Amino acid sequence: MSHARPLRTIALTAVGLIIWSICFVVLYAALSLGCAAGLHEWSLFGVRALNVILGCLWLVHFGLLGSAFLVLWRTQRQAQAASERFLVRLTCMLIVVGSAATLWVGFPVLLLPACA
Amino acid sequence: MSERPTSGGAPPDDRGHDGASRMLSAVARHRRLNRVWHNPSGLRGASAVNHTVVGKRFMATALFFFFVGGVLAMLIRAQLATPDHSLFGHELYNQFFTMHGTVMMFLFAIPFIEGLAMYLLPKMLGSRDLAYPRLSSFGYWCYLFGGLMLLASLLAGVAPDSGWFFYTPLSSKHYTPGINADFWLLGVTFVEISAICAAVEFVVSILTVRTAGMSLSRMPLFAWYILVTAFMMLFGFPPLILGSILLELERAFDWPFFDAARGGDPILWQHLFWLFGHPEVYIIFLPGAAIVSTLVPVFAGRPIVGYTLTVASVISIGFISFGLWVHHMYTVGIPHLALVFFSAASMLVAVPTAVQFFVWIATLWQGRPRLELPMLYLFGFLVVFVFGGLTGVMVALVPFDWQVHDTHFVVAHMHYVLVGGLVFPMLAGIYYWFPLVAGRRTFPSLGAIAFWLIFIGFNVTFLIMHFTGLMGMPRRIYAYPTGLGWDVPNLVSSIGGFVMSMGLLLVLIDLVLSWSAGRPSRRDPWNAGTLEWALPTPPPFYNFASQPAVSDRNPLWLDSSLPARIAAGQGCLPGDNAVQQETLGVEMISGRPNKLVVLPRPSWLPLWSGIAMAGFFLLVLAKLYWLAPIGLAAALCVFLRWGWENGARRDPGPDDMRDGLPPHHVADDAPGPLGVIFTLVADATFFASLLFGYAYVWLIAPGPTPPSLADPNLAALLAAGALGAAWAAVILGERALVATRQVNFDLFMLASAGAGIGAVAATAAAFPHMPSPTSHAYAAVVAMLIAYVIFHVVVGVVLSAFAFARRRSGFVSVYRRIDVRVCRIWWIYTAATGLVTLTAVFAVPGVVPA
Repeated sequence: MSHARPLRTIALTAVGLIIWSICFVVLYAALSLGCAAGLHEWSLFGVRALNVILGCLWLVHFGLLGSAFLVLWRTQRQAQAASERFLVRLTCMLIVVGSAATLWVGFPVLLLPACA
Repeated sequence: MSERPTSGGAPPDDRGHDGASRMLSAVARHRRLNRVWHNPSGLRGASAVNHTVVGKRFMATALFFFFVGGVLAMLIRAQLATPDHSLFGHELYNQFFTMHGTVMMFLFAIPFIEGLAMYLLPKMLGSRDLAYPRLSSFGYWCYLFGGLMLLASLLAGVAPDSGWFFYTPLSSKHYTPGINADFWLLGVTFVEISAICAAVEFVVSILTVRTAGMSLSRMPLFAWYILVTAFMMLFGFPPLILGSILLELERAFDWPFFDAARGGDPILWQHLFWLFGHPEVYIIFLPGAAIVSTLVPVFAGRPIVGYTLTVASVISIGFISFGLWVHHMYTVGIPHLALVFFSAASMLVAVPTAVQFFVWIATLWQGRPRLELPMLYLFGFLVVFVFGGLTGVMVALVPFDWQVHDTHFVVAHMHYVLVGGLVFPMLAGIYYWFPLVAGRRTFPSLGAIAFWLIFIGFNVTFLIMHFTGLMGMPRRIYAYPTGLGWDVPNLVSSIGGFVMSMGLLLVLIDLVLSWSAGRPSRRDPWNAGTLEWALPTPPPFYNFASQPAVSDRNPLWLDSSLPARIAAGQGCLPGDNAVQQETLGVEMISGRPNKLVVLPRPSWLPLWSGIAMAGFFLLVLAKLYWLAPIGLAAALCVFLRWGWENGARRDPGPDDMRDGLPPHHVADDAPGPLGVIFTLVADATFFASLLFGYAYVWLIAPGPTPPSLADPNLAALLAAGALGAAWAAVILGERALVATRQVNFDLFMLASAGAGIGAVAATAAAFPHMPSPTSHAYAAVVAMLIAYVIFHVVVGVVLSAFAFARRRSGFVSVYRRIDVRVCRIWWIYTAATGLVTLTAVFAVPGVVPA
């Protein structure tokens, strides 16, 4: 945990939820624009194209969450002061929350037709 | 060239000593500090900027508006008590329920929270004041004048009457032609300025103005809650400010943002409003929860269980609550999949909320709870808010929401959440901190009777209202016929409402009596662990005679002699030689002191700037649009004067150091630039909301196809080039300053101002080639985007000229670069948003068809 840029360090504490927020906005925007553009009428291998796109966008965010966790895992050993260990624990908790939230909010793209 | 002043002086030991002997007695120290921190009284007291004064003003004014909102509620309940009742007609009723919601949300709840946090934060953080005392004071005047505008409309019989959410097209010119709607749009926007000021104040103060040793992990939970709330305000309020500006532009100049016939969409208003409106519920709830998390450990007699978990749950609520806004719009015709996203998020937010409840229960379970008066109100909170949360999960479900939408079920749910989430904790907090504020105890039996009246009255009013709603009674009707089964429930609700009012009146009587005739309170009457209880009661303006070095989250539980040692000057900045108002500034994470924040004396500037802003809003309200900029220009002049008073004309020497700490003028994390960064966070949210509006009317809104813009590419390219040049000039100017080439610095600052003027000219040159903003919502949004960029460039030009003048006057040096850093941050933001705007408006439409 670097304290050279404390503002950035504090902001990154919420990286898990930031990724969730991005996922949420991306899914909602892609759905709205996709419906407006008529993408739901196309299909890929018998699956609605818009659902496939949304599913892929959803999965990308799991990749980001996983990467964030890996970075945290590598840097957590450097945390020595109590305040640093606190921020590591907090970051870890919020990545878990962000992952669960991303899973919970996004899984309906696999089940429901996009623009009905 | 003198060496850069650093915090490398004699390091404080674990108690914050710098080794120097302390000469003054506690009384002499108090007298000296009182002289330095003196705030005038009487009429001159309007110039006071101290956080204790301004915080109390906020709370007192908010409680006055609470009373106004309560009277309006009683009028509503009197009207609905019996069927076909006609105390007043629908015009007046519409004004009453609109103003009830508006007053309670904008003039009571948020300002009370701001006032409470302003009053308490420095005391809890071991500091002497907030980072920007004058900004708090300016925020107060904006709040007061905006609130008085709204109140005047009520007294004049022309109050807003479109509901507190102000849906278009009802609030548009066609359906609300009078001045009523303008009062709301301008009054609320004026008040929101206050909220943004408070949010910036809180974020910077919590992050950088604490006492020694108070790392983020040792910060009181109250500060964590307010930090998250403040961030939510920075992200949550700008969409509403934007929506209000757009709607006022539509009403004033016929720019059709929400007119479906000309490519606008009333649903866009709903998006912008609820982007603010739903987080607003949590902005109100989290400070209430902050009070609960502060009081529960005190009355359980042990530290909170799961500190980190609580912080994580608060941050989670802060984020997830922004994913719920469409759950107020389930019935507008949104694809089912999108509804599921929002329904899922709405249920999800219950999880971190529940985590807090389990934390509180576990803390009580593990401790030895004492049932004192504040705790009684906390139990009221626990019961009422849990009930409101459960009905919240019910309305989060789309099919159920469709059934109860716009019925009294939603009214009941909302009141359970808001009264449970804020009013009960607020009353608990008032009783808890009253001895600190007033130095006296309240009358416990009076407070207990008041509690039962409020608790019973509230539940009688609103529990049955769920059933009234389930029986189909819609909201916002001024009368109803008999025979629909609504008669008895409404009568019961009205009786309950009056019982609750009697309880609140009893609280008021209790507080007034106690203030003058209450038993004097000893210091820390509740055996609390946080630092505000280390202060004498009532606290002096300077708070701490010396700032304690802390090593625990509950310093008073760790060391009961701390108050005496603080008074004896055995902490940091003991004030023995105090000649100016100063407090410790710390590293954000570790809490290690790294600077001395020098604070301003009482000033009239906040009041003058508030009056100038009031002039602007009143002139717009009076539709004197060509005169209105005079108000803005006057405000700008006052702000420049304000900025000119900051800083120092020479680099600090050894005499300017205290406890080895340099003044903040030379610190890397000085409050000034940080404040600009967080202001720009709110500004960026405004910009993002505007871009959302642009994309919405371009791609989503029904109605005629957006007009294509003429070909102003040359002007756009010139504007982009000029913005880039201004950006580069400021960067180069700062480098020249660091390299002590001051003439070059002056030239680069002038160049950045010149480039800014060029950017404005080039952008303005594009205007005549574009379709009229009244022709289509798309053209109106484009005009709004360009106006946004021009406004920021103009401010940038002023800042460049200001930095130039400050350097020439000796306020800027290689070490004292705050003005230059502010200028750089502003230009980077302006250039970035300008380039995004030019790309979005002139480049993207050529690639993506509408």
